[in-house]
Amino acid sequence: MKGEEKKSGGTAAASATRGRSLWTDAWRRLRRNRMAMAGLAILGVMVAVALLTPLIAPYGFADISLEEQNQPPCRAHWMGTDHLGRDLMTRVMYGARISLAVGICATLVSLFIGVTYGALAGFVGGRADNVMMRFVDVLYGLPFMFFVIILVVVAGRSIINLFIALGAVQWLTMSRIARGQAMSIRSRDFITAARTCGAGTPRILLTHVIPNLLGPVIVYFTLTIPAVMLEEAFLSFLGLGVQPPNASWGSLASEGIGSITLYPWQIFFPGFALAVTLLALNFLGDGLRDALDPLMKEARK
Amino acid sequence: MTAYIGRRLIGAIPTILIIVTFAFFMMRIAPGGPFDAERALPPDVIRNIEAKYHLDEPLHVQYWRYMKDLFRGDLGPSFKSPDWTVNEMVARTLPVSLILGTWALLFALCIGIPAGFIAALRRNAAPDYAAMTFAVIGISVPNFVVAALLMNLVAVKLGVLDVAGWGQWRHVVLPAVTLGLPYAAYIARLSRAGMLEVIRQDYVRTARAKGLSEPVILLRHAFKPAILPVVSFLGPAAAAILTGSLVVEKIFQIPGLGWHFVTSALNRDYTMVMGTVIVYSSMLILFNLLVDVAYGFLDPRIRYD
Repeated sequence: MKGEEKKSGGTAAASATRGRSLWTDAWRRLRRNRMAMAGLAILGVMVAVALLTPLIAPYGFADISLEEQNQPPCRAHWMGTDHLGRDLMTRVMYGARISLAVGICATLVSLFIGVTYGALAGFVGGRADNVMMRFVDVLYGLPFMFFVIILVVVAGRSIINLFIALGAVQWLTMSRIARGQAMSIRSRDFITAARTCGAGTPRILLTHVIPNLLGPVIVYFTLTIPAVMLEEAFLSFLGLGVQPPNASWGSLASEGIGSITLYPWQIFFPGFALAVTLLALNFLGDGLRDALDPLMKEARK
Repeated sequence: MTAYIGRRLIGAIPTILIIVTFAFFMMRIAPGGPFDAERALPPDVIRNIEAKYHLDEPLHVQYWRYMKDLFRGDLGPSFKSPDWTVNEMVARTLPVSLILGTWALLFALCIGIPAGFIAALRRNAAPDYAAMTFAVIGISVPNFVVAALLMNLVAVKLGVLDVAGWGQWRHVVLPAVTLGLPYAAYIARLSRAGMLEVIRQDYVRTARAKGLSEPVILLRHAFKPAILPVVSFLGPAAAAILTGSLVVEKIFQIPGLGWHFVTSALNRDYTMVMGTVIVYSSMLILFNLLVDVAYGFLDPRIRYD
């Protein structure tokens, strides 16, 4: 945790010499927000653990030990064992890999669809914009979780399908944000300049519009990851998400729920790992929004 | 107002048609069917079953038949439970989910609104920080963790309420609290923002200058405009509570529509899944309409014409 703070301090100091850009200023505000920095540190640890799991996990992921079924937390097994005597801490660590991967990948899918769609609608404007945004309005009214469930049932319960399905329903708000930004960028001088130079719409969108609307999109990105992770956990918990032999925090919790009155640790540890990660992401997202918001206000003036 | 409601109801028809069409074709292109048993059935039996449910007809004929039945309010027979029609199943399980959802929403409102208002009125003081920390925690902690904690503390350790079940008042408390908690957190945030916006307004200052007491100002002048953001959140909240009840119903073993939906999805009981999605979507559209109408009553600046 300490190393990370030191590193971030270093970047801020280095870029401060280059003057106050939008991002340095935001970074300085963010660093003053203690909850957001704590969130960042916790996430750093989680990601590090997830990446290093195959090296540092105390046991094998599928090591069954029938003499040690349903052991409570003890020195040999810090988080206890499950109904097959597998070490729960190892499984929670491996679960982090899948939970984080699904959260990030599905959000990236939604980012890709939402930004492309929204930027296009906002930039083209007129009737096309109207039709595209009406479509988004209609989709907003639908019970999306049900469609994710149908998609997953129809396409098969693989991890790839899971994050495509989750990403495919999460892009709506992203597209609205991107559209709003694109509309304000459209009338800027540098767009006119690009047009005069003979650049076509796809080129302008890619090189001028999209890079300039990323600020608010990044904030929303941070806040979408926990939402997606929660949805993945719900699906896995219902048996519709990650399937054995893979395990995510949601599916581990699902395995634990059956014996909650007898062996409560089997649901608590994966559940708490998920809760702590979501908390960290939410604090970081809120902090980022607060850090970027005053700049947005200034920009609007 | 009547014209507005009428227009909205007519506008909902294409939405529902899109939902039905989408769900129908999604379910039909799926590999594997509801009658894939562990033991392969003789081809004659399969042919008989398919003929019984009209699965041997071309797709567009099946679609047309389904639409005609739907128009008459008939959601068809269940593929997996031959003794039940989808209508009977919905009629039996929907009320359970509605009761649970209503209690959860009431809980969320009763906790969220006061917490948000207190936070706004004591801005940047201890109550504010406490309420907002609670709000972030409430949003972040997954339903099943809350459920597990409540079951262990209240039901197992204290022995006050039952761990799971349905049928008595004591069965509704824990699931409703579990289901309502994230929305209580969200509503607390919204009502805090709403109240902060309102107490800055000139008319509140005027009311203070008139010498009105603080409770009168809050209840008569500030309350209505301050809960507007909460009211507009009720539409999405209702949707989310319906969705969330899938998990809560599973944990607490409540025989509601949500649990049933998950079971049918796992069993590939297509007619059941589609019926559930149609019922849910219609309820959602209706609820959003109700929210918009209520909004018009609360905010006189909004006119529907």
